Amino acid sequence: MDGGRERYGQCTHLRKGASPVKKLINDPFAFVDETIEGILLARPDHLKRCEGSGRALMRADGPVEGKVAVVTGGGSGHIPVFLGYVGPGLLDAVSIGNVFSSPSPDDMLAATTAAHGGAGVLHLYGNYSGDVMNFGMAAEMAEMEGIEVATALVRDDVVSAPVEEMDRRRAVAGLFFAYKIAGARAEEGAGLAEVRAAADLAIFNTRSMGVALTSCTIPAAGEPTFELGENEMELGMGIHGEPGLRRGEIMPADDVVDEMMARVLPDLPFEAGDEVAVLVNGLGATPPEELFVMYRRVRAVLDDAGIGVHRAYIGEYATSMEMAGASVSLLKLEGDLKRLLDAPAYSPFLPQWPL
Amino acid sequence: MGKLTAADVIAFLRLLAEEMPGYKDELRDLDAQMGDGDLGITVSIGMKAIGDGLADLEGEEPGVILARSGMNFNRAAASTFGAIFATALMSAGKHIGGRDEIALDDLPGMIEAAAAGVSARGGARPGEKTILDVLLPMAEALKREAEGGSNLPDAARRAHEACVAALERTKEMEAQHGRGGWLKEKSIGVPDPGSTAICLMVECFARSVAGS
Repeated sequence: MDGGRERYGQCTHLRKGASPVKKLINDPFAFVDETIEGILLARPDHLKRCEGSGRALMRADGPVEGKVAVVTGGGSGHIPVFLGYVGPGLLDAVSIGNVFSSPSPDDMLAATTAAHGGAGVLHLYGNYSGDVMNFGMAAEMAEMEGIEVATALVRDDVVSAPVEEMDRRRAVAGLFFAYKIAGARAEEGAGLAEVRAAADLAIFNTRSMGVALTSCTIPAAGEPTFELGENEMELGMGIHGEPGLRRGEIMPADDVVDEMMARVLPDLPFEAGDEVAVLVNGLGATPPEELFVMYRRVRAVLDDAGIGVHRAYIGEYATSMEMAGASVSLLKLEGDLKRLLDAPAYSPFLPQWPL
Repeated sequence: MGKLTAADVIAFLRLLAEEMPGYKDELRDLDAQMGDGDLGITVSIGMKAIGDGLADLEGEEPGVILARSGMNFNRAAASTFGAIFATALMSAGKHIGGRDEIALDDLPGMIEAAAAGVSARGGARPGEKTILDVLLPMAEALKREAEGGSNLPDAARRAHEACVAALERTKEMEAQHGRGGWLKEKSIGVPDPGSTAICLMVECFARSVAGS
């Protein structure tokens, strides 16, 4: 314990006059492991560690025999993404990296082998190069152990690349829809190819865009990831502070939503007669009230466009440490997606029963 | 020196573990212009892990030492660079298989195998501001040296010179991959941070070979 405090002291010293960032942490290098420790103590009925790794968690009742396992992973700092979506009707296991960093292939492999119920494993995660390469190595190692692995990459952020270069797009809160849909399909008893197809259908029908009002601080870095002026916001910024569409003076919520929707709707496109699920996601430091303020405008824009709303999720679904801001994601409910979205699911962060 | 033994490979990796953490701030500042600035800490932690793992690798063949060191790096510092670097070392190690020694003639093929592995892993091609843009020119330089009947210390020095010249050319390239890929033309003028780290390692290699 004392060792930890000593290292924290060094970390604050390193900030070189920058205004200290207030965080309720101990040793910044123990941050991720202490988060995992806390969540396991709080939710022992729902989560357990995967064998052979301190950085991989799975459903407490897993592996589920005969079911395709849906496994994800990524850097910490985004709760409920990723570990918050482990549970029945959702994900089977997750590997956990340092804040905003990919997990190692060993942890991904531990999650994969622990969750494997004999029916193959879907690796479902965000399109970030570190995650892609490390999951690629883990998939190769799993296949050498005789586990069939399929992969689906979430790419919902419309600002990160033009639509014709969707392979370069990054993932933001749309991860949630992909998890919900793939998890439901796997729970129905579908095979690996079908679960992957459901995940891909969700991915290709999801579009998101965010806005950041303040930066965030990685505990081990000790200073904000980027600078944003007192009265500035950045439209389209990614969940690790990746450059967005434009930076400018902060605007009223309705204007922000209008600009987001003007970009999101034509991207798929979402058209009159479509039915969608809406996710208005808080990035960590934005109060829920503001998300509801945004949602009423999202709803007005959709009503005007003749687009129906089947379900609305409002709250924190994919955060970015203490970043203030929000994102709007739309899922067009094509084919089986409505049934799969409505299927019951349970995790400590997502209790969902039938409507 | 004619050939590299397992002990020479361990000595080189130990030098990396000692020297590379010293470039932490330089790599961080360079990477902060392109990505999220974590390359310095990644290289520092990963190289220390390579050094810590060497004791367990005594008695292994050079190829195994390289491959397992790559995995040790990425286990401790999983990241984009970690995955690429681990893949490079694993591919180079696999290329020489279970042989006891590495000759100068083997080096171009090892570097080419590393580049091929990196390309397959990350989908990059030459000219896209990645470590391929220093690995391939270095393989060429080593091939010329091997064909010209050079010796290991001279060849290693030439490889480093080729690497430095190639690194300079990455400044003019537009990043296509990783976080730098979202910056596109804004990445022009900055040398590729990952290639910079590779250049520093090759300098260590040249020093390690010259000293023995």
